[in-house]
Amino acid sequence: MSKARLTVVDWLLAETVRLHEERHGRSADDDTANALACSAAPDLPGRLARRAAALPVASSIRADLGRLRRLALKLACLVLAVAAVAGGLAAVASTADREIGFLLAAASLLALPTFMLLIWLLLMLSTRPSRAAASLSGSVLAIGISRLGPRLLDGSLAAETVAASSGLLGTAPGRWALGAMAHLFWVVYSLAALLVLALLFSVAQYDLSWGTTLLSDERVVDLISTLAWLPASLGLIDAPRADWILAGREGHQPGAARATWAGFLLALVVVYGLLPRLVLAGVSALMAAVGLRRLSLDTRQPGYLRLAGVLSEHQGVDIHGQPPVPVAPPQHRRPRNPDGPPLLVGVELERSEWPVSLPGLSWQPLGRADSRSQRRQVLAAAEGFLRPPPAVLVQCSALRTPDEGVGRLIARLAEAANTLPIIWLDEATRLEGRGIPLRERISDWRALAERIGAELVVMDADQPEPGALAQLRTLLGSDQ
Amino acid sequence: MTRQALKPLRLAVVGHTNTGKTSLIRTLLHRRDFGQIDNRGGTTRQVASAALAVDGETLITLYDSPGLEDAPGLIDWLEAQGGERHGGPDRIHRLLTDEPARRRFDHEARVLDLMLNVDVALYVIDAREPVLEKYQDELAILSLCARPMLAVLNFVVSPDSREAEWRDALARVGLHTVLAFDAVVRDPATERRMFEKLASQLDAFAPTLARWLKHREQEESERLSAACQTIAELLIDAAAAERLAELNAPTARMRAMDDLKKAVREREQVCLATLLDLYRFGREDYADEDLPLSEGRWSEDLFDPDTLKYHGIRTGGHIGAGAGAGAVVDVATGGLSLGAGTLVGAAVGAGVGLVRGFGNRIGDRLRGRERLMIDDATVRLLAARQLRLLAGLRQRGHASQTPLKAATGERWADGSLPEPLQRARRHPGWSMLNVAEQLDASRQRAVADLARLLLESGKNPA
Repeated sequence: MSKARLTVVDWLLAETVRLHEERHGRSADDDTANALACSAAPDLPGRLARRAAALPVASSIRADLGRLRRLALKLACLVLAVAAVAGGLAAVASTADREIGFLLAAASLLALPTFMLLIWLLLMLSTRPSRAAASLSGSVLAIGISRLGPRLLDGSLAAETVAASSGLLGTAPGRWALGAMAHLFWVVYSLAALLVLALLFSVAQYDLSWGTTLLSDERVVDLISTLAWLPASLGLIDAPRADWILAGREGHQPGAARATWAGFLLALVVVYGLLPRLVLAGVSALMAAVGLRRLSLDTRQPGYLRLAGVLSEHQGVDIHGQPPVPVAPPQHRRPRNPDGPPLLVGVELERSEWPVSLPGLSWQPLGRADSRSQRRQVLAAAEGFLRPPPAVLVQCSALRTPDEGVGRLIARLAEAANTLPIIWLDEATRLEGRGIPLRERISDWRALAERIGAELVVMDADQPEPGALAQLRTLLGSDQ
Repeated sequence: MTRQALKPLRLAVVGHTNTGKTSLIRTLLHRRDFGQIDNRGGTTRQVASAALAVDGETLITLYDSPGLEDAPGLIDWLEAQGGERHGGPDRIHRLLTDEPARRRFDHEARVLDLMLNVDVALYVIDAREPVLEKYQDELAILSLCARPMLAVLNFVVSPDSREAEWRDALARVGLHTVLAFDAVVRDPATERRMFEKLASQLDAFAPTLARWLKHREQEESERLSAACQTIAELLIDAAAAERLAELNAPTARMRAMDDLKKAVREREQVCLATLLDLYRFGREDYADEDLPLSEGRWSEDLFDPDTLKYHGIRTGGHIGAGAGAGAVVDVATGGLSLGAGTLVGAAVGAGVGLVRGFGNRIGDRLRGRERLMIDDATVRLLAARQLRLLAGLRQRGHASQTPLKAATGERWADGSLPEPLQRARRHPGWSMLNVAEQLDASRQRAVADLARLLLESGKNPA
């Protein structure tokens, strides 16, 4: 099954809504959104995102997200401007005198970026994503959003929107994005430094030389050759020879090969300052882009998991077969000239003493019909009357759920005796002891009575109510 | 990485009218909206099915069937047809192709048609019913379909249950795989046992059932973790919540107190709703005499002293013992400030439920303010109440849960608050009940620590 892909806005919307609902309870007006979500996406994360987007509050969150985005862009521009200024200042500082110590200048331009790069690597490797951003400029961005955000937003869920955005920066792709930002800072820094250096070298004359107090000249030559190896391999400069390097020794030949030494310094800044950061910025941006495309919601969060039930309903129930055809109820009438007492049959009763006797009522018991053989006997007995009895009274237990089997038995009894069937619902008191609502059970029996064209009397034989007793007497015709 | 597709299992739930077939399916599906159930018989008139799926792959299809209503009549009909005694499925086929008989035994025909098309059937029995002959007739007819069957005894926790009688009767017809499974009791252990019994009967489907059980177990543990996290968030919020009130202004303080109480009550309600949602109980269908809950709300007020007593929370004995906020001596006034008696220490047991908070006491006092927080006993009550609810939700209404409840309550009834909550007491910024402040990582850590404590107490009640 294909999984719905979430956009960054989807993710942020869903997270904002989750944070809000975890604090303040589920939105009261989410029925439409839930139904929409169920039909829109196949999996839970997709449905959660769809639901959040369909909530009435979504539009104000979207507006706030737009504001946050603009804030982030502004902060990023600010950070990059700072980088440009810093790079320019570093270049100016390293060329304060017309006599430039080559190694000192290279160190002052490259030491800080390299040191920061090492720190970034260390933090990236050692900390968990949920912790702080692994760089200074990333932190500025993250902290800027969390501190300035609430002041800029005016939606009802501003606090949660900011929290969700901070949460995004804490995910793995968010960290890569902040990393890209950090690398971009140093790219701009190096570019600014290069530009300023190139400008200064173009319009003013500098003498570049090197010197040492402690080391031997050979060591320094080795060091410079090593530094030059990478730029030379990249074709930026010609590989310097040892005698040429020695010629640049302080106090040797002031100003010899000025342009070449200046080019060498620029190449060093490009190769050791600009290039690594450019590559890392690209890699980080790529990782961030890939990660953001695969964003998924952590459905184990209580705010999401609680919705799993609601968002899985409304689906997946199949109905098989044709609906049942309603049948018209048969008609049974009291015979015109009845003879003898009414018949009594007991069906699936729990009482052991049977037949019971009630004041002012008499009947002819045919037997109990709990098993198939008993049913056959009772039916055979009901057929053996020349003139129809006034009624056939079927004493049933309210403890039983009425079913078609009993209904058919009653109908056949009435047919066999050619008389009116009456269902006497007994044992209602015991039913209430089980905690089952009596009224519903009675209405089920009433429905059965209507289906088979029988009368229904509810009366517990152990404690007969006078009203029910009178009703039964009327139905049996014994009060005439 | 392709895994071999598991063989999907088709499972029919059959039985007499109104024995709880649909509610059993609802329990297995963890879905309240499947079918319509109530005490009225014969509500299900057509076969309905729903799937138990993992990652979009259907593992088990559950079929709900109309209740069997006239098995004795059907037996009579089959006997009248004569024919051979063996070859049950053929006799069933004859019934299904006989149009008048199909119409007459509409429910039964639907059930039998279904039986012939599934891999296994659960025969659901209302264990409160006597073993009437009509039920034995049903078993006889169903066995003609020659499908493996498992008997499920519903309502066995009822005092009217005739479980032994039924087990005896089922053994006599050769049905020895019997399981007591109360559909209204959502007990993961019984559910597990049922699927294990099915797997033991159905070798070919054992991997399918194992996969499903694993999924269920994972779901259950995720649910429990989420529930503990929910409770932990509530407790951190409540423990760190505070309100500032002006000194010597009784009405203002009253207002601040009421405001704080209201905020905590509402926060608890949010937690309660989340827990009910997590365990997929609606507000309307949660009924448990053991928990004072009505319409999805606690019926007893959080700040009522009787509620403390009900949950066995002791309030005395700790005040002044350095146990909680109430014990901290008021540095600025030596505890003799006006109105202190109504708030601090001894009055806690009288149900006020509030104490003077931490924070910059001297600074507050110089600015003419004081901080109010809810007291330890109320925090403990909040914890005990939610844990009790959680225990109830995990094993709703089951007779065996009483010791579990007592044990989870016990941990919180007495003693000082767990360490993460004591930390929260000193960090008003952690509470979402205070003026909206950013949630920092230290709060997340405290929540995680507390959730772990709760989870452990939930797993090992002893």
